[in-house]
Amino acid sequence: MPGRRRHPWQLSMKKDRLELPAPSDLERLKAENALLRDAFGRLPQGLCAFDGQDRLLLANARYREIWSLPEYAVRPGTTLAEIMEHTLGCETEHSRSQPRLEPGSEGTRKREWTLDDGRVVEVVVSRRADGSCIALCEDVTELRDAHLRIAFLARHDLLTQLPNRAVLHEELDRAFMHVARGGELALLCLNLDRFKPVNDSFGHAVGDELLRQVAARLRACARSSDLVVCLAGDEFAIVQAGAQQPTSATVLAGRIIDSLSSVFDLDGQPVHISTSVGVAVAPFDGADAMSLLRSADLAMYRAKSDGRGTLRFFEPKMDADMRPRRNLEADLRLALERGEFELAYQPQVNAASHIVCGVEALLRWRHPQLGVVSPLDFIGLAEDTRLIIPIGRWVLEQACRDAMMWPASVRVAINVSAVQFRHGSLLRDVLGALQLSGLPASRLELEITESVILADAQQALSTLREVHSLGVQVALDDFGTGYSSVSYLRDFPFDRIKIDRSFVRDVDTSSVTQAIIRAVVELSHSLGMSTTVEGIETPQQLQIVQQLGCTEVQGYLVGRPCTAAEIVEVIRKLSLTAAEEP
Amino acid sequence: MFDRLLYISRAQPTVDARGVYDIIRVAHNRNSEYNLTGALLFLDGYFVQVLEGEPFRVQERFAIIAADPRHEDVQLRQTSRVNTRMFTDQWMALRLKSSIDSRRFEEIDYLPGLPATHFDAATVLGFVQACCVDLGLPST
Repeated sequence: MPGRRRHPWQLSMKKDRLELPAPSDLERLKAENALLRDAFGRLPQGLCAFDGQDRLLLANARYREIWSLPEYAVRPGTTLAEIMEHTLGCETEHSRSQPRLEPGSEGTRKREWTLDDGRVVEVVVSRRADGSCIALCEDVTELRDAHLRIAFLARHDLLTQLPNRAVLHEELDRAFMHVARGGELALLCLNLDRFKPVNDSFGHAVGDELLRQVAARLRACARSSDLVVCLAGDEFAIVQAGAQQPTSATVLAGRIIDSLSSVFDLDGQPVHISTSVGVAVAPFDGADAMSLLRSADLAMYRAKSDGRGTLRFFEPKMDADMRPRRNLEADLRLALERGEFELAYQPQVNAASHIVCGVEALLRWRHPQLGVVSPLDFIGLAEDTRLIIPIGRWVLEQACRDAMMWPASVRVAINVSAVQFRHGSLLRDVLGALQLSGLPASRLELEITESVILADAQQALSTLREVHSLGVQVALDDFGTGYSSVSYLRDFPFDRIKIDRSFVRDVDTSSVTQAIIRAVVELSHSLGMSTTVEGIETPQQLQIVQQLGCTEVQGYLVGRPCTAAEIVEVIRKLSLTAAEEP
Repeated sequence: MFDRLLYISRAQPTVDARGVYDIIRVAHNRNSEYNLTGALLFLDGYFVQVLEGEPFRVQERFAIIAADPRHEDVQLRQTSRVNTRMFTDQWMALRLKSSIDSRRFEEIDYLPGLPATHFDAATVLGFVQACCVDLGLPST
C-alpha cells in the first residue's frame, strides 16, 4: 500500500523476510504496550477476550477478582469450559431466557450472573462474526441493592416498614376487579387514640417505638392475605379481600381494638392507647379506591367522635353530616385572601380610674353567605386544619398595626391558640408583626388559655419565655375554668390573670364567688401579676370587683366590641370621662 | 338486669345483600352506642333476631325495628328479663344461610319458614345461639 502511512507496530511480510520496526519505533511500541497493559489492569471492570474457539486470549486482574478465579484459570489458552468449572454461581433465570445471538453474527448481549456468595455480576459480551468475543464484567451488587432499597422506600413507610399509600391504592385497584366479579372487599381505616399525648410526654423516640409495636400487633391480628399499610404517622389501613363481609371486618376490627388496648411496654414504660376504626365495604360504600377510602375515613372520624376505642361502619348519612363542615372548611381556606376576616376591639379599663389600659382584639369572620360566623364555629375547624397559623399571623399583624393608632399607654391583647404554639412559628410571627407595625413589644399582650400549657408544657413554656424576653406581656385567659392549676403560676411569671366571666354573673349575690375572686386577686398580686375581670355588665358588679381589688375590668358595661375605627374614638371618650371623674 | 327479645319477620323481597349489609351496619353502629348486643339470621327470606341490653334501650330499639318497612309480619316471640347476655361481645352478629354449618339445620329438622310457624321460642333461640357459636372468629 504505497503512499499510505504504516503504523509503527504493524508488522509486514515482504516476500519471506520479516520486516521489523526501526529501534526507535520499537521503544515507542514498548512504551505504548506498557501503557495499555497498565490501563487494562486498572480498569474498574473485568475485561476478557476469547478467540473463535472459546480460548482465553487475555484477562485483566479485575476479571479474576470478580469471578474469584485461581491464577492458572486465567492464563491465555484456558478454555471457557475450564473457566466455568471454577465459577461459583450461575446465570440468572431472566438472563438465560433472553434471546441469543445467531451463530456467525456480530452483536452485543447483556448477561447477568448470581454468584454463590450473593454478589451479582453483569457481563456485556461483544461477539464478532468469527466467534471471538470481548466481555466486560461488572460487580453490580451494590447498585442492585441501592435500586431495591429505593424501590422499597418508594412503597413503604420508613418507620414501621409497612407498605404505604401507593401500595394501598394499587391493592385496592386490584381488589376492585374481584368486586366487579361479585366479590366483597372491606377497607378498615385506623387512627390511634391518645398517640399525641404519648409522643408529647415521652418524646419522639418512644412515639416511634410505639408505632413500630402497633405495626407488629396489626400484622399479628390480620390474616396473611390482608394488606396492612401505614398511611401517615398514627394512621393505618387494612384491606381485607376474599372474606365474608361485614362479619369478617367486624371480627378483625374487634381483635385489633382488643390488641391495641392492652398495655405497651416502651423501654420499661407502660403505655396505654386505643384505636378508632372505620370500615367501608365495597361495592356498597364505594365504586373505586378513592371513594371507598373516603368512606372508611369518614367512618373512622365518627368512631373517634363517638368515644374512641370503637368501630363504626360507614353510613351514607355520615357523608351528609360532614358536608357543612367541609363547605365551611373550603370557605375558610379562601377567607383570608378574600379579606373576610375582621377584628373587633373591646376596651380593658382600669377598675378604679376607668382609663383604657388595653384593648382586646376579637376575630370575626364575615362570611359572604352566612354573615358573621362566631369564632366558636370556626376556630376549632381552623385549628384542626392548621389554618389557624396563617389566620393567627394575620391577626397579630393587623392588631399591631391598628394599635399604632392608639395612645402609647394602651396595649393590644391578642388571643393565641395551642396550635400556634405547637407549630413553632409563633415567635417568628410575633417578631414579624412588631417589626412590620413598629409597635413596641411592651404594648403587645398575648392571651393564652391553659390548653396551651396542657398540650405541651415544655415547648409552650420555652416559647412563652422567649416571647416574654422580647418584652411582650403574657396573660393567662379564662382563669377559674378547666383545671386552673395554680402550678401554672409557679411555672411562668404571667403579667396578668384574666378571671373568667362565669365568676362575674353572681358576684353581687354570692359571697362564695366574692371569696374566690378575692383569693385569686390576692394570690396574683402577691406574685406580681395584675388581674382583669371579664364580663362586667352592671355597675354593681363593677363596684364589687373594684372593692375586691381587681386591677382592670372588661365587659359590656365599660365597652362593647367595636370596629377598628370606632375604638380610637372610644379610647378618647373614656379617657375624657375618666379625667372628669373626681 | 337485661331484657332479651327474640322476633321473627318476613323480609321484603327487595332486601338483597346490600339491604342486609345496610341493616347490619346501622345496627352495629347504634347498638355499640347504646350497649345493645345480639344476632341476626337471614334465612330463606326471614329475619330471626335476638336483641338484648338495658330494658329501656331494647324496647326503644324494637319499636323502631318493628316499624321498619323492610320487613313485615313481625312476630315478637319472646321477651325475658335475664341476668347475663347471650351475646357478650357482638353488637349484632350476622349469619346468612350460606355461612351456617349444615348440621345446625339438621339438628332442628329445618325447613324454610318453619322457625316462624312451627318452632317454639326456646328452640329458635337455641338455634340462633348455636349458629353464632359455630363460626367463632376466623383464624389468622
